[in-house]
Parts: sequence; C-alpha cells; structure tokens
Amino acid sequence: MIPSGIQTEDELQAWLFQVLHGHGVPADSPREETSPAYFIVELYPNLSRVLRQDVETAIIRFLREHCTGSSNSWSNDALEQLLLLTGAVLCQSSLREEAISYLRSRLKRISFPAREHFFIVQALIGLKVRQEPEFWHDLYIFGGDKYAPLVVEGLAILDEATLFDWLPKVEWNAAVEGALAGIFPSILLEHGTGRTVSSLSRVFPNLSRQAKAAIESLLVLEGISTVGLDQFEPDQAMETMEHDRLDLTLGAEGVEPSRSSSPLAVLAEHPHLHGHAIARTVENYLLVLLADDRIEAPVIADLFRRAHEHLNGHDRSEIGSMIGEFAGTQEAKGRLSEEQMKILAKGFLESFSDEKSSRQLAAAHLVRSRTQKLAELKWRRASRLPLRNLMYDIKDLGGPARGLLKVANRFRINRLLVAESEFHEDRIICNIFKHVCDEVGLPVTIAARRWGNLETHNGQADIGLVNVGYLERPSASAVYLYKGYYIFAKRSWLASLYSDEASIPHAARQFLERLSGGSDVGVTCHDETDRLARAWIAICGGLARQGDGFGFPEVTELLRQRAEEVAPIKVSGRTPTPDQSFGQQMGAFLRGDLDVFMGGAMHARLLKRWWVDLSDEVVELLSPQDLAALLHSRWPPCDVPQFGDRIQNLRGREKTEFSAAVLRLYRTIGSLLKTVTETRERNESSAQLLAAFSSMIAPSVEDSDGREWSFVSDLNDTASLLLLDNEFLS
Amino acid sequence: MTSLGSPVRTNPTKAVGPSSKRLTFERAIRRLRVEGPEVQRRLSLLRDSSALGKRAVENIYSESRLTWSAWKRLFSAVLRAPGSPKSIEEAVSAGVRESTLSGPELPYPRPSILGRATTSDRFSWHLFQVGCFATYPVAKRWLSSQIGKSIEGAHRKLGGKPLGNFLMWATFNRETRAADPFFEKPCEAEMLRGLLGLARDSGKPLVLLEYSLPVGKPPLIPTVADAYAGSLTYYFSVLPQNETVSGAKYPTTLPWQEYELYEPRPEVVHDVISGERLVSPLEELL
Repeated sequence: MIPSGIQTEDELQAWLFQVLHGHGVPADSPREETSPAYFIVELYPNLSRVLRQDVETAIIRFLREHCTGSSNSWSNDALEQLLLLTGAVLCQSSLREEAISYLRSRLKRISFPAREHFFIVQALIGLKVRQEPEFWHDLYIFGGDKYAPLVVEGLAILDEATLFDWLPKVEWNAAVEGALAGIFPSILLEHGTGRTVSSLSRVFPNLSRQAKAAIESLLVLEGISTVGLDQFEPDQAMETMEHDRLDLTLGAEGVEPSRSSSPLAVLAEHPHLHGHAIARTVENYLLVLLADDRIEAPVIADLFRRAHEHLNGHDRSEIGSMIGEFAGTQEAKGRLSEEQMKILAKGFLESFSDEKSSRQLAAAHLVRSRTQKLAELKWRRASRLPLRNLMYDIKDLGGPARGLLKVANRFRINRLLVAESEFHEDRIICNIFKHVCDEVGLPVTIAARRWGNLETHNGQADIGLVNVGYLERPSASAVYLYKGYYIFAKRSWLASLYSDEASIPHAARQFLERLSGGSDVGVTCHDETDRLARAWIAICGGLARQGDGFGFPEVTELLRQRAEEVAPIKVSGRTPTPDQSFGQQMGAFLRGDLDVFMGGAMHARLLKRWWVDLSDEVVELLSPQDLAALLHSRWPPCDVPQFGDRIQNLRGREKTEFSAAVLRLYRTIGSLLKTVTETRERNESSAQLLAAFSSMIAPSVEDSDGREWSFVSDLNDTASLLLLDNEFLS
Repeated sequence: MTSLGSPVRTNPTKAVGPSSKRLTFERAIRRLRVEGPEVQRRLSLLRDSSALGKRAVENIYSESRLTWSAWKRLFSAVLRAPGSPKSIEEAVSAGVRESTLSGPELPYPRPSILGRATTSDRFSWHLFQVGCFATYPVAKRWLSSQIGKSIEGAHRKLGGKPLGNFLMWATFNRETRAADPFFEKPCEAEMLRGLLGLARDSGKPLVLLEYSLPVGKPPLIPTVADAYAGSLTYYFSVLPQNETVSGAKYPTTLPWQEYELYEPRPEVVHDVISGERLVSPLEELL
C-alpha cells in the first residue's frame, strides 16, 4: 500500500523515488524477494485513477530528468528499476508516447553505460515500439547474445513472419534458440498454430541443420506436428512458377498439383499448413503478376476463385488478413497502385462472398490488414517533421492553448482529463488538443468515454465533445455540425423483400424493381417519394431498433415517423441487440447478422469504398443529403464541449472564462482541420498532416470490441470526413 | 536488484577456518566491552518497537553461527544508526548484508534434490528482470506454457540463467532427501506458502522448482544474515545452537501463525544456481 500520509503529488513522487531506490519496499518473507518495480507493478492496478495518473506522471518526470540530464540522482540499480517499471506501467497510458520520446532521445547520446542501454531497449519493447527489422538486426550485431531476447521480441512486435525471416540470417546458437523458445508460446497464443507453422515453413528450408533440429524440437515440445516443414520449398516453387505459373500456384482448373515441391502438394499431405500456405501461394503468384504488370481483373478473379475452391474448412479471416497485409505492404512500397488494389479487392470480394467467408469477415480482414500495413509503412512516416511544426505552419494553436493554460492556472487546474468518443473526428481533435496543451505545459490525459456522458475508465472527464441531439439551430457553443450519416442494406435481403409482394408500397416496389433489374439505382434519390420509400425500406429492415442503447434513437424515430407516411411498417429484417455499439453493428452487418445498417462517416466510407463500389453485396439506401431532406430543420446535430463536475463546480464567472477558453481552442483546432483538408493538394505541410491525422484513425493492434471495423482506409476518406461529413464552425 | 550478470550481493561460500571462529551473540557482545551495552540498548529499542522487532532481536540473540567479523559489521552498523527503531532496523539489514551465505554447511547426509516454491508472477518478474525476456507478459506466458511440459523446454530457456537474485532458499524431503522435496505437498498454494513461510501473495499460484546443487555450492544453514539482508522479516527462526543438525534435525521454516500446529519444513540456503540444474518439469500449485 501507498503510505496513508501521502497527500500531494510531490509527496507521492518523493515516496516513489525512495521505493525505486529500495527503501520502504515491504517484505514479509526472506524467501521471496520483492523488487521495487515489481512492488509498484503489483500495486498499480489497485490504485485509484488519480493515484495511477500520479504514478504515471512521476515515472515520466523521473525519465525526463534522467534522459535530459537534469538529474544525476539515479543509482544504477534504481535506474534499472525505473526502466523496468516504465514498460510495464506506461504501456497502456496516454503518456506512452512521451516516455518513448525521452527514451529515444537518451539512446541518441554518444555514450552511456551499456547496462542502461539494455534496459532502455527493454523499456521501449515494453512500450510496444515498432522499429524497422534492420534496427533489431543491427542491435543483435551491436549487443551480442544477451540482446537476443530483446531482438526476438522487438521483431515479433512487427509480426511473427518478420521474426522468422531473421532466423536464416543469424548464426544459430544457444542464445538465439533460448530467445526463440521464450517468445514461442506468445506467438502461438497470438497468431495460432496454423499461421505460426506456416510462417516458419517459409524460412525452414533456409535454416542450418542445427536450427532446423532446434525448431523441430520446439514444435514437438508444444505438441505440434513437424511433418511437412522440410518439404515446403518456396524458392523452388517460385522458380518453377516462372515457367508454369498456373500449375504451380493453384493448379490449372480442375487439376491437382503433382510436383512434391509445390506448396499445394505439401498442403494436400499436411492439412495443418493448408489455409496459410494457400495465402502464401497467392502472394507468390501476385508477386509474379506484379513483376509482369499483369494485375488484371480476369486474372485476379480467376486466381481468387481457384484459391477459394481449395479452402475447405480453413479460417477465412486469417487468409484475408495475410493477403491484406501483403497488399498493404506492396501498396506502401509503391509496387501496387490504387487501381490495382481495387482490382485485387474486387476479385477477393467476389470470390469470398459465400456465407462462411462473410461470417468470418474474410473481406473485412483483408481491408483492415491492408490498411494497417499501409498506415504503418506509409501514413505514419509521411513526414520527418514533428506534428507540432507542421500544425504551426498552418495555424497558430499556441495562442488558444496558452490562453487555456492561463485560465486553468488561475483556477488551480494542473491537468485535464479529456474524454474521447469513438467518433473519428473527435479522436483526431483529442489528439491535437493533448498535443498542444502538453506543449504549453498543461498536461492532458485522454480517456475513452462511455456513450452519452463523460464517464471514462479513469473517472469522470473534465471536458469532452458531446453530441447534443437535434436542435432547431446549432448551439452557440457548437464546435462542429455532424452530417455524416448513411443508411445501407444488404442486397440479398432487399431481394427477399421484393419477393414479398403483398405488403410493399408502390414507391418501394419501384425502387426494388429497378434494383432487381440490374439498373443503377443511383446514390441520390430521385425525389421525395423515392426518399420516403427508401426510408420505409430501412425501417422495415430493422433500423428503428438500432440505437436503443447506442447511436441516436432520435434519428431512427424521426425516420420511422416519416416512413409511416408511406405505409404501415412490419419489420422483417434482423435487429441488433440493444447493447451493440456502432462498431459491433458494423461487424454484424458485414457478417450477415443485420440486414440494414446506419453508419457514421467512417463506417459509411468503408462500406462505400469497398463493399458498395467493388461488389454488389451492399446497397446505399440513403445519403446525408437524403437524411437532411427527410429530417428538415432538426438536422444536422452538433457537437459542443461538455464539462465534468470539477469544471461545473467552478464559480459562475470562472466557469464562463474556462468554457470560453476551451471553446476557442476547440474551434481553432476545427479551423486547422478545415484548412488542412482544403489545402492538401497545394500545401505540402497540409498533405503531411492529413496523412498524420489518417494514421490516428487507422487500424491499430489495440482495436477490439467492434472498433476493429471502424477505421479510415484512404486519405481521401479522411478528407471527406473533415470536409463533408463535418462542418467546423468558427 | 541486479540483473544481467552475477548478482553483486552474493557472498560466495567461504571456508570458515579457525581464525574466523563462529561465535554466539553473547560471546561476540562480550568482546565489545565499551560499546556492548549501547548495542544491547539499541537492540532493546528495536525489540520493544514491534512484533517484527521482537522476533528479529530474539533471532539475533539466538544466533550462534556468525564469525566475529560478521558480528563486528552488524554491531558497527547498529552503533552508527541515528537511534530510532526504524533506523536500527535498517542498520541491522545493512550490517548483515555482506555476511550472507556464511553459515556452516549442512552436515551429511545432505539432500541431493532441493525444492524452491515461489509465486509464479514473482518468478516471471525475476526472469524479466534478469534479461531472459524483454517484457513481463511474455515471461508470464512462457512460464505458464512450461507447466507440466518436458524439462527440456526449461533447460533451453533457463540454461545459464540465474534462478534467484542474491541467494536461494530451498526445502527438501527430510526422509528420502533424494526426491520429492515438497513431500506431502498440500493441495493448495496458500497452505504450502504458509508452511514455507513465504510472502503472503494470496490467491496467486506457486511455481515449484526441483533441482540439484552443483559441486562448490553446498547447502548452508541459514543465519540472521541470510534472513535480514534485504529487510527484517517475521517468518524466520534461527536454529538454536544446542540443536545439532545431525540425524533428523534440520533447520526449519517458521510457518505462518495459521499453520503453526503443522510441522515446519526443513530448509537451507545456497548460492544462486542456474536453470540447467532443474531436474523435474516445472509444476504449478493453485
């Protein structure tokens, strides 16, 4: 426990400093040593939000003092404890980036103790820093065997294949073997046996005899069959493919491959490699096509059709991920153009449109992995300049930020907890808000908020942008208007609705007839009758039930009222469970568990870019313009700053001053976003900023619980989000 | 608090010859003449300050296996302390830190297989701290994956890696001495923890390590120096001078109060060994 006498942040820092130096660590047995960092790591999850933040802030302060050379008060042992603690505690913290920046700056020093270097790298891995593979390769050369566990874990942060690719390049010894043995259970847990073995099988033929024996023994220990590992010879397969590509990739139509060196022959004999090797085979073939500039729709369609035939019971999501990752890498390196990516995605979407592939979200995984890789390799590296310099090139954010700092200082507010919603524009705004406030010396912590209020896992936030619903006119304190709502339907459900002749009103029937006749129904509605008919279809498809727990029930209720002007409604589509978030509903829609889906801007742009434009699986029913026309003056809703109890409890004038300072900063950020988007084609800083903003809302490994289907997949979509789906007010 | 190499606090087992004869507290304090009463006064202050202080001072008074130089270091540290019970407590720890692993070797017949139980999370943290792993979660996953698997996996990963920091405490089977060090093992971690006098990590599983000692790292009888080098702890009891270790009598643990009716387990300390000495698959007790 933290001593009860500790009242202030400074006292806590002083106590933590003492603990890290070995003083005051409780021990009730000599038989089990409690190291200072372990003591704090065990204590940390049980602390209150405020104390957790204080501990995080103290660690950051210690790191800053040490890494900037402003303090020499750290003994070697205590510094080790501090660094061990850093990775373990700050990994999930909003201060993670700051910690990384201090540690990286320390690494750039010309000389410092070798032991410290080891612990800094260890801390960076704990913070899940992603570095190029070459960084880790060089680290092993520089640091030797003791760095082997760090090198394998550093490479594994990228992915398991990157780690395995290193194995043939390194001289095999006990240190490398031990390091691989250490990470192996984590890789199996994270990626599954099939993918791990498949990735290993790619490099296996190139390993030394000693390495092969060690890996086989590792697999046996894990209870995994090693049969087939040494028969997988991708190099030979590639070589033969040069002569007879179709036979050796997926075989000519209806013909099973015959050569033992073919990946498929290995697959046929050893089913545990099957699905992944298909993905690898597709990748190999795509490489050949790319080299020949033959990414053409019929060739790609044929390739995926035959790949699909070989799937049997294999996991489609993993196959989608692997091919997506490959495509994203090629795209980032400029080898695959945007047009070629579309051809590839279209071929995949069409071939993998069976029920099982949809249920396993094969196409969604392809898009997600492709974008994750693209963001990682390209968007995040679009600029070598710090975000700050780029932003200040466009707009002076320092003035409003200093204004807020001044007011906050006057009211003794030393730090702010800002709530972040799941909406993408808010995620970008929060990121910038934190950046500029931290810059002027007002520490900001960002925490995800619950739906409709300012509650976060860290307690109630001080500030957050909240949608206030549907006002007659925008609130005076609105930061932006939100217009980005779209409604989609599954084409298969629309077809089944059409067959139910009895209960469909005339206008809706006309729409469905045009659709079933194959004519382009168009995105924009023809007239009010068409619009009302589509609203009727949407409500029929279960839309009115969406948003019971999340979303905006007012929207669906207003739509239902308008739709009933057409005819009585009997809901025939499937409806979501009340507690499903937008993201979870998106997943359900793609899986085929929902027939109609109302998506916010990012979900909609994902569906439009991939599912509406490239396949006929999804139809756009209503656009924001249609919703505006249907909902008249009660549209669009706006977002305003909302304040937590700490700010609400300020005295009247203080509260007004504080609110005004916050609003000024928010609106300046809004203005920055608007300018960046408008000038992205003529201003290099704007273009780089747009890529940086896109990377903030790109897929991330931490995404879960529906958020994995809520990301930007194209820079133009970010621009549309900031320019069309939202209107920033000045 | 060390890692990546040999622990620095370890004091390799020294031969104790006639010139460094072991003394009881009583004989050692008599040698001090002038300062002796002040040392005793300060220790009394510590004894009267808390149950922990009382237990520690009783153990120091009963200690009979430290050399004169070890006693001198302890007494000097106590005399240098400012005088508050807390400062005396810290002085005792600092004063014995250089005297660890200096107790007499356990007489023959000695156990050939020893056992160490420790909380899984602590052991994972230890492996992370000594650089076997880059991160704590990966260390935990590895340890968890090894439970019940062939010992080969543990040898591969832990070969050459220290299983402890400064010294290691171990138990053994007083009957067979050559196997089953956790004899009559309780079915719950909590009870074994209590019998061995481990830290109170309630609800956390224990990992059980079984190993043999290499030549040159014999099992030793624990002294107050081994027990208090980190800090003063309650669950330790010195083996009294008049109780020889021959036959069935060995130094034993001091179980938690709730298990005081159970027979304590035999225990020794020894220098840190590395993972290749493990002889059985890692076992976990929930």
